[in-house]
Amino acid sequence: MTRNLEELAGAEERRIAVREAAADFLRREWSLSSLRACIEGDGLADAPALWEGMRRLGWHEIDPFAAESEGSLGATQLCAIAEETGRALAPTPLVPCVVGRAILRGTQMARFSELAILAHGEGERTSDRLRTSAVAVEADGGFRLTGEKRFVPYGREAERLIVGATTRDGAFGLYEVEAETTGVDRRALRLLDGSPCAEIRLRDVDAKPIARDDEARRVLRDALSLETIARCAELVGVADRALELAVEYAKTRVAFDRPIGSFQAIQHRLVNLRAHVEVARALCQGAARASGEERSALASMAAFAALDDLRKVPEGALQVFGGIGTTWEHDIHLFLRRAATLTALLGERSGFREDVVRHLEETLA
Amino acid sequence: MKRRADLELHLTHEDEAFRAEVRAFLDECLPAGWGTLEYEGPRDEASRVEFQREWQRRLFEAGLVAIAWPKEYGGRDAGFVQQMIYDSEMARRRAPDPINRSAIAYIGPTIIQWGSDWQKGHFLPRILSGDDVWCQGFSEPGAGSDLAAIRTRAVLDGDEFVLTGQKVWTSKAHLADWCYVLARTDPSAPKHEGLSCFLVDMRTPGITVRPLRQISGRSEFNEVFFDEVRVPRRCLVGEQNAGWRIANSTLRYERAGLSRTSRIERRLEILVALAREITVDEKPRWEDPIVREHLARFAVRVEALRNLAARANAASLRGASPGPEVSIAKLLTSELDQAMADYAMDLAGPYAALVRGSPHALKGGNVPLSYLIMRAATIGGGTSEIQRNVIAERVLGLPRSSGTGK
Ligand SMILES: Cc1cc2nc3c(=O)[nH]c(=O)nc-3n(C[C@H](O)[C@H](O)[C@H](O)COP(=O)(O)OP(=O)(O)OC[C@H]3O[C@@H](n4cnc5c(N)ncnc54)[C@H](O)[C@@H]3O)c2cc1C
Repeated sequence: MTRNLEELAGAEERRIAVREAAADFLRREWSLSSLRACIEGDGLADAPALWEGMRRLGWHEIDPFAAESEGSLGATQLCAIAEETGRALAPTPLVPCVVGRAILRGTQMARFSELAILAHGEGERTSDRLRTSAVAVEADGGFRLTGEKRFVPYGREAERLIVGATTRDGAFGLYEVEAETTGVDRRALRLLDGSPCAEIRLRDVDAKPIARDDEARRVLRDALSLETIARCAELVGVADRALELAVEYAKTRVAFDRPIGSFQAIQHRLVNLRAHVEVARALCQGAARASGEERSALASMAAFAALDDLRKVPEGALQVFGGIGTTWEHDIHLFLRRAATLTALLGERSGFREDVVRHLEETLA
Repeated sequence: MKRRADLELHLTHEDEAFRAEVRAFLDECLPAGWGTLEYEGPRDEASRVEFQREWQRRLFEAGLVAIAWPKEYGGRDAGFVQQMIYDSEMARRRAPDPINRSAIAYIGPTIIQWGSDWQKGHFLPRILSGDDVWCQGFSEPGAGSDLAAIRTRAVLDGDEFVLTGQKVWTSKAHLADWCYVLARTDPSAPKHEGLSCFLVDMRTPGITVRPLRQISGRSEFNEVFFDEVRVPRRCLVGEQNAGWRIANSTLRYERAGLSRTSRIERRLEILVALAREITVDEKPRWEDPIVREHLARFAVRVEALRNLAARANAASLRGASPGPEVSIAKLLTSELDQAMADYAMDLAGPYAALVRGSPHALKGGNVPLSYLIMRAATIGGGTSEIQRNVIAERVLGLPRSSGTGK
């Protein structure tokens, strides 16, 4: 990753420009009152309009594996946007959509404007992120898939599903499945932050193979690293905005005739939270710029830091609000809910830990 | 799960008999299955409240609400040993809270310490019986940590005080018959010197209660508005303008009450059960040394706090106001409680995101619900920052940081 400073500065300028455009768009198109409706169980009423707007901006066409160059929206830009959707607490299928499309494009099968989602989570927790319990059987010249996937964001909204499965002789492959077809059963899971998530059961479902063996493993690994980085970026945004709210409040709330932000206990708490955000953001950006195996290791580092620190940011921010922070009316709990949800669904800590340690071993060897 | 062994104390025959009495009571009165992790308590607020009222009525009939209180007001004048027996039996069986738990913990003791004979005779038995449910009207929109900044006014008019102002975060005000109110009686005096404490009948004209919703979705605290509410002079607690001292003793009783360890003992048990049940890579989390390290740390702290809190509580319940050290017990207990609820989220992994009503939610979605509820642990009863300030200034004797008043 040798790049001259000029290049870096150019990339940074483009990142900031994308970020500002995204922030501007989200300010116009999304509000926390729409999010409250999602949490109250009224469904995603206002979200589809938001997604449509994102499509018009072409965000779904980001190619996260593209080399960063003038005009291309690479992974760095994806992270910049994800950070903004995090700050706005906007429930969007941006990350799963880009990940899904990246898998299909990576295998020369790109199609546009359909939501194809990687359905990879399972009920049984495992630190081996590539593992899948779904089974593929060859039949009538095609394949049929059986298995259960859980914790699939936007799984019910998806038009197509991408599923990893193994055949009876142990060959791993990635397959594509029409979501609205016989044998696919999708159930909503209710999440703490009100965003959509599904459990998906596949029973003898017609499936089209998209990659096999080492290639499939590589594609899946890259897709999962990308997903991890983008979700971390979203978490960074959530934490960053929660912290900003707490800092604003600390400047205005008065106790003992002084702004509470003048008490060192509050100052130091806020500084520590800022440090968490900075560390996680730096790791995300580094991972976004890398590629291949290196990106995968850096993604696990970002995830490890995110799991350690990012939920603590809205927790600590809430503490600064005192009593008002424990009310439904106040917005801070919305950030807490989103951060807790993203953290919970980020992946197994032990898996990330082992990746980081393995990387450490390799770099020291 | 095998429960902790009994207290090892040298018990007299009377103490033995008392323990047998408490055990017999619990055997008879606790609902079947109570205290097991499978037991589903009442879910909605109305039935939760009804359940707690009924539980208090039963305790009252058995003379077991507040055994350390004076006999004449419905207590038993019980000493330290019997109080320890009582606490440990109640904790062992995970006995529920009576509806008036907070009034028993800190409003009653305040009345015992500072109240007039009429106040003691009239209010204390009704607190014990649960005939009167109480709330505490201290905090205001502009005065929480800085309690002495309250602005609710009480003006003497003939034989009555006239109260006007607003309280906030008033737990149980929507159920309460009475409210223990801190108000300003002398606006010209320095901040801490013009305050007084009142016992206010919630049915008096001029009181409006507006429920506030909490982040858990429940509505257990309220805004309370006082608009020229007339309070008879006999409902002033202690002397006029001596309210700051009285309120501070109440806060210490409250902090002692908040350091009861039954809740953290329960949460530790839940964590262990979760760790045994949840698997990663087909192995129970319980077997993972990193998880064991965390659980061991929690267990050690719970054990220490059992002793720390028992001391604070025993003094408090006898109406001897605990000292500022009680902030240590409150700080550690609430932070531990919160830390364990946070750790349950870590243990639960993706399942931590599933709320009640979702397929596959763990324990009815209790893990994320407790996580949300436990945010308040380090805020209510005085924030952790304020407890640390009290400990720094009053226990360690460090110089007061500038501007933080009394
Ligand atoms: C669930 C719940 C139930 C409650 N029930 C009741 C009740 O029944 N009756 C009642 O009267 N009150 C009740 N309270 C109110 C509670 O006592 C206050 O919320 C608490 O004292 C904090 O006050 P505040 O909300 O005004 O926050 P603030 O005082 O505005 O505090 C905001 C932040 O500033 C910090 N801060 C303030 N001063 C300092 C300082 N000097 N140094 C360092 N940091 C400082 C605080 O720690 C906090 O983090 C309840 C609160 C909760 C959450």
